[in-house]
Amino acid sequence: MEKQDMKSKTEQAASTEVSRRGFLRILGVAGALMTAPAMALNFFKGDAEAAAIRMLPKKWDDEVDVVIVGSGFAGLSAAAEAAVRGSSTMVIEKMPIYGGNSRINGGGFNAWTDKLKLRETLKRGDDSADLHFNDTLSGGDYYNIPELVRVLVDNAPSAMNWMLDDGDLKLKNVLVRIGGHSAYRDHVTLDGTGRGYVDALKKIADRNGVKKIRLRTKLTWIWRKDPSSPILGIEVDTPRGIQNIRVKKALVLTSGGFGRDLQMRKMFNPNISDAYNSTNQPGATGEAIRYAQAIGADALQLCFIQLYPTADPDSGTLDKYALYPSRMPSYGGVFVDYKGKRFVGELERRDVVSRAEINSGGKQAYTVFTEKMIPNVTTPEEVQGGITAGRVWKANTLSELAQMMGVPGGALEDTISKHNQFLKAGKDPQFNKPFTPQMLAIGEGPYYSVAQWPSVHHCMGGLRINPLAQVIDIWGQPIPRLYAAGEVTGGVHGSNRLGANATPDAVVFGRIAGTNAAKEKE
Amino acid sequence: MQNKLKLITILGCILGFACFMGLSYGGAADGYLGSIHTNKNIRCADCHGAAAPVKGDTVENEVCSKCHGTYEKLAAKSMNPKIPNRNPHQSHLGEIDCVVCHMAHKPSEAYCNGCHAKFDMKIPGH
Repeated sequence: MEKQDMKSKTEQAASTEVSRRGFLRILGVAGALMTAPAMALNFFKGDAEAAAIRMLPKKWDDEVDVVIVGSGFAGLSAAAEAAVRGSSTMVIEKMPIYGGNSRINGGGFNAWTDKLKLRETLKRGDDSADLHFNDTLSGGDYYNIPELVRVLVDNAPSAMNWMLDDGDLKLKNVLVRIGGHSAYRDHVTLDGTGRGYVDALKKIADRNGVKKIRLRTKLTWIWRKDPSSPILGIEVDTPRGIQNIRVKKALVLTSGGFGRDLQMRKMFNPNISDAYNSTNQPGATGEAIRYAQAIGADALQLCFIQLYPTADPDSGTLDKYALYPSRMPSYGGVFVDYKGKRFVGELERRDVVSRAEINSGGKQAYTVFTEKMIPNVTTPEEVQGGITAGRVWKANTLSELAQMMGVPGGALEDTISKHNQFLKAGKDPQFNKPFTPQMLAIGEGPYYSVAQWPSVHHCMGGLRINPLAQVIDIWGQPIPRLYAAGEVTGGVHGSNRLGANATPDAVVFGRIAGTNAAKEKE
Repeated sequence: MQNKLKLITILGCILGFACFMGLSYGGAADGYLGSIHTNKNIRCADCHGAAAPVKGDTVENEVCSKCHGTYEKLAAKSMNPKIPNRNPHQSHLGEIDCVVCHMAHKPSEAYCNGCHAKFDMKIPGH
């Protein structure tokens, strides 16, 4: 995984210099750039602030080998890999706590195999990297960049093993088949949230020598002199005021997506109105993408914004119980709408389920499951917690359950009875759901149900990267000393991300970014 | 001219001394958590130490816990028996900085509410 040879890149840059100067002349900035080398680069004149010619800082408040923006899965992975190779690292995080969306996610991680041989031990069938590759491409409607998907599926198992070996990662003894996947490959943290992976990655980062994460430290500009020069540093807003940090080797952007950025959501996908809640933490906004674009970075597929189909209808939060709808179906769970009828194949992709829910005409939909299914996905204690929190209903008969849910009892009983027949026959004439030997019938009680509704969840689009995690500029060339990984990038997931593919994306590419950042010569 | 300088110096010393005394023996009048502490005779220096706090200073958990105890102790205090899982001091965020939620000189806000819009979690100094 060697980085590109800088000499040949400069030669390449020189040959395209003429066309770039032509472009800049049109903008009227060329003159300024040539006569005033201390001016910093920014292409876009839209925003008033960005339109001002920004002068490069005269002095730097600090200098670091590798600066990492964002402290989730990708940021922690990048920091860990850069630090272990001897680079000084600085992780900046604009929120008052670290971990971003990673910390609060569902705790799933797809890998076709792992050192524990979980799939074999639990007898969950076959899998392969090729199958994971095909599922991911198909799930993204082939908008994915295949080279990036290859990197994801080939390296997911070793990333999982890395966290198990070096981070004391604890997993549940389960393996789940998530919607859109054709195999049981989703590993789940013991605590059932992304915090399990964040803690493991933090442990590795600490052990590798990553110093304190600088909290409440927000990226406010990226410094680059001109269209072929490397990244020089960043400007940050800190509790002590504005500072400028010189980047000696590389800047790694791992700042996540923009699910909470109402303006950006609407700009790229007018269909995603403000009415949609978000599963994201409040800091999930897209300014880092803008700062990268302002110095020439290319971005792609920003219109592909995913709704998590089964969040808490009231708040849009993806709590523990919002995971039951995505995990129970692989063990026999059934979806019904407000009329008590099925409305979609339960193992469909997220965008298909979301659209079907919205089209079902109600304000919420539901998952019905039984006590026997619980140990395959979680614990009875956790489900009991859901009942206490008012998020999960439990009843001894389907008719009682229907009353709690607010759906017609007769219709629910009929739906479940029909589904049991389909399961027995091994064929779903309604929605063509693939039945597996692991799926159980909804026979005797107690019966459980959880309410669900779509909520903005993940941004598939973002900054363009190559398989080395280098950020590519609008001309198709890597921007020297700029890397990106995780949700901030685009092209890995295509039009629709399959569940539990985000964590391996972030860890795999975060490691690559950190590794390659450390290899840069000062 | 000389007298003016002398005057300025003397005034400066008085102000500096007053500042020092104020920090050591004075308190916050912000109307939030700072004031709540002042009203219980806790002075600036008790949280910030002897030196005057500068912009961006924060108070570490070890300082708060001297009086308020460990996260474990706080969890027992903030536990709602009706919804035991919904405990700000025993949450899925773990042991974050006290100052994430408890801001001394501006309104405090439970961080939970940022994602869990319906929690409506209460906090002193709001």
